[in-house]
Amino acid sequence: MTRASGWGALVALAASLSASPLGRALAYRTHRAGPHVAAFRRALGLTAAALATVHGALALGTYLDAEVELAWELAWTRAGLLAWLILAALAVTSSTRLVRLARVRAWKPLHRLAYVAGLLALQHVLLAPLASRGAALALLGATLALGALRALPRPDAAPPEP
Amino acid sequence: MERSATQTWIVVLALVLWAAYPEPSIGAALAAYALAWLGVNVLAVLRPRVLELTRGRAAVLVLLVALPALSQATRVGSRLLGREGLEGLEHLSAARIRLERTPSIAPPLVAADRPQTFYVHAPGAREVFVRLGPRGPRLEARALGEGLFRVLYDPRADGLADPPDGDVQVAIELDGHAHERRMSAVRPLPHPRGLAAAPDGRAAVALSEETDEVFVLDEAGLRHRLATEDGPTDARFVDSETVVVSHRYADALTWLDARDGRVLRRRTVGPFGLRLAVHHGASLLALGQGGARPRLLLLEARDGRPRAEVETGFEPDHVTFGPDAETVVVSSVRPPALHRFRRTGDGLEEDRPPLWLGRPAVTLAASPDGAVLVVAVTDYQADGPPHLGNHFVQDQLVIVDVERWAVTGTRLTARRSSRQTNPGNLDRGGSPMGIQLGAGGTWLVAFAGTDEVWRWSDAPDVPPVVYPLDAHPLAAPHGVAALADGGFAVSSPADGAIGLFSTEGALRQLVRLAPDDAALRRTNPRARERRIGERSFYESTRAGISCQSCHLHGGSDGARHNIGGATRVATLDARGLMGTPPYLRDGGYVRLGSLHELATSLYRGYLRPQRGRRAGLERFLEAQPRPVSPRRLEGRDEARERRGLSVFVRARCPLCHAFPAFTNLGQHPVRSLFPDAQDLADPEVDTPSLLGLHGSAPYLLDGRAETLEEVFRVHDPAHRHGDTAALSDAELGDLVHFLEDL
Repeated sequence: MTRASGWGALVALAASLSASPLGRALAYRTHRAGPHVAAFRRALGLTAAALATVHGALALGTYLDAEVELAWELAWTRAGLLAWLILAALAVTSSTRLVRLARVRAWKPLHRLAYVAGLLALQHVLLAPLASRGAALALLGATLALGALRALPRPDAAPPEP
Repeated sequence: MERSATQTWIVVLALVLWAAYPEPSIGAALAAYALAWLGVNVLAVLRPRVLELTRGRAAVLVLLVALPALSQATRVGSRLLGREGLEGLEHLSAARIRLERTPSIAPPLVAADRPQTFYVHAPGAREVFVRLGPRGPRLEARALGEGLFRVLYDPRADGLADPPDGDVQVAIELDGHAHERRMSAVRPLPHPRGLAAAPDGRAAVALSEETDEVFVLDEAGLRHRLATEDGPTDARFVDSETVVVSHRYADALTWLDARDGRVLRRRTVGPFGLRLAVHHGASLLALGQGGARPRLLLLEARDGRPRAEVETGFEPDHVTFGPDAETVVVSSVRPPALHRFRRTGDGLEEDRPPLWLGRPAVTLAASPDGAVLVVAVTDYQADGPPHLGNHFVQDQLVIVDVERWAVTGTRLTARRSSRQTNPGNLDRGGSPMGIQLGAGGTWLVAFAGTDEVWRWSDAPDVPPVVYPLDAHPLAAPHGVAALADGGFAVSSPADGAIGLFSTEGALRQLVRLAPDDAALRRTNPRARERRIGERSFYESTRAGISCQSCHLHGGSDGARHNIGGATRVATLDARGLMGTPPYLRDGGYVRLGSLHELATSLYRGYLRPQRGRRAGLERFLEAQPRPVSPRRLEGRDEARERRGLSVFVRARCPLCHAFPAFTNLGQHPVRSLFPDAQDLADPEVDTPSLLGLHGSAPYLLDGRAETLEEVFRVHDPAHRHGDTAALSDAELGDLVHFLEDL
């Protein structure tokens, strides 16, 4: 259960980070703005945060014997903890209402930390004793490959004149 | 403009805050970013105009801050990588992926000098073959169950890998489909060791276990270079014309004519023959034998007819006769003691309690009359635990009166000479490795740590005559033998040479059995690197400590040492390490070569300059194969092994001790597995490979378990170390049997 929730969180985060470039690619083909990309991205991000919370709670409660200091002391558990903190902060600030209430001005600079969360999650998996490194690197490869789709021009550009 | 300005300001402020924080860490960087973000948000609400920047000014600001930040990052970069566990990540990941990617094979080392066992993890395969290189032998794998296959390889019977030394493209054939994998082959050079003189001193014999050779020398030089059976471990003159040879992998003793090299006879005694002793007067031979049931044998010296034997309960190491033919003294590594046996009819009995040394005998020799033994140890503690000093090593010779069965004196050998360049250096008498006691109370001692031979008197106040070997390619000398003309012979396994010296210590002749360094640089650079590593392994540092001091010949002295923590931990075996990073108990070293820093920092470096030590040490250590399991040669109970494997899987051991290397190379918090572990210096423990377990007691993170049964029954009260709580005694027995087979 601990590992399943961890991998679920990682896949959801990778999908969330890939949502925009994928949406851009789809819109490029259809010359229309990507439909509901933001909604997908948000949903996937919240899923990642939720699963990361479950994963962390289970790991802390069983594997780490509720020793938070130990989780902070070891490099790989610390990376996971930091990734979760970022995802939690992003989850809280993903609510438009809450953002307006708190008068958050620099929303994007905060949510760009999703990439940092992704890197920290990758560090966590690569150093974790029970995780498959091959699978982690395959997921990274897929995410980077999809990320390359960002190179495509924005979907609101009109097609060239014949 | 506002969007880019806030991001720019956040980055700038975060860099400034992070640079000011003394500890380089990712957490600190994130905290700095969070604080900067908060600050910029507050400013954006209260004074938004403060944050306005043109693109040009933004670029300048970023540059002004980025440059010092980058400089800071460069300075703390390696500390940061180390703290975050990212050092050597590529190397670690490659090793793990190599094992995860099925079909996978372990260990990755193919040694040309001994039988080996490989394991292949090929889930779902029915038939598996392994070909060791394009023109190498094709070996059939035997299914054990659970997707695990075993491959038995004997280079003498099956042929060498292709190439025999270097990277090998191995093909693992699963049901007819080939999958390429990379392994490393090592073909050791001749390593002459174990010099023993003939009774008349007119000849000497040495052997090379790595190349299955025996070398007979006389005052003129090399008389014969003879091929012998698999894995010669000792050779002794039965008389001036006959040499007897014991073997580790062949199941026989062989007798050779020292004049013309003919094989005179052989006698089957079983494999794992170890050291020999000869009593010329009574024409008796004593043989120590390892394996699953170690024993001491007394045989007729001329033809090997058995006279007496005893199961010792420990693996006999050095063997010698006492004052008479009825008395045999044997040393052991575990326990670190001397044992005296007396013949009783066709048996042998240990007639006195073991003489406790504290650390095992590195070598020993008996006086010609057998009354006195001189034993080389790295510390001597007759009673109580060994010294608790940090990395305590104190090379010395212990003198034993065999009849009284008591230690009558000790002599420290490690000392300073006038050539020491820094205060506190120990530059003489490091690592006594070969001893011969002559008539008239003369001792010849070869020192592998400081490359010298001493001619010493048994009178304690007489200083030794020192013969330095620095000028000769005889590094890390192991064997020494006095010759009839007053000279002596010295063997150097690392350099593959034997030197014949005059009474004055002048080199009369150098017998090269392996290519010299210059030739190796041209023909086999890897072998040259291994040689540099081997020399470094045995070489004493300024602190008087070498790798050999605790890792006897690459293995373990079986002792517990204080290595800087509050408790003593057992010495790890340094063999079979290839492909299993990271290293040490906590996994703190990503590469084997990184352990070189222990020598340069903790032990204050080496006495002699030598380039390429780090790479050489890595090559040498990686090239050390695991010892052969007794059941590999003595026979297996395959049904019981399969039951044991099934228990291994049911107990969820493969979660961490994954096939085929029986480790997934992961590190766990110690208290997650062993909640009762206290006073440990490291919070993490590396998952060790279970290959070669049979000879590597004690077990677990600090050697707390003396046996494999104790691992499960005594040291797992919280049942975190596998699912073994519900195992019956029979199932646990099968599991232990399986583990001992690896």
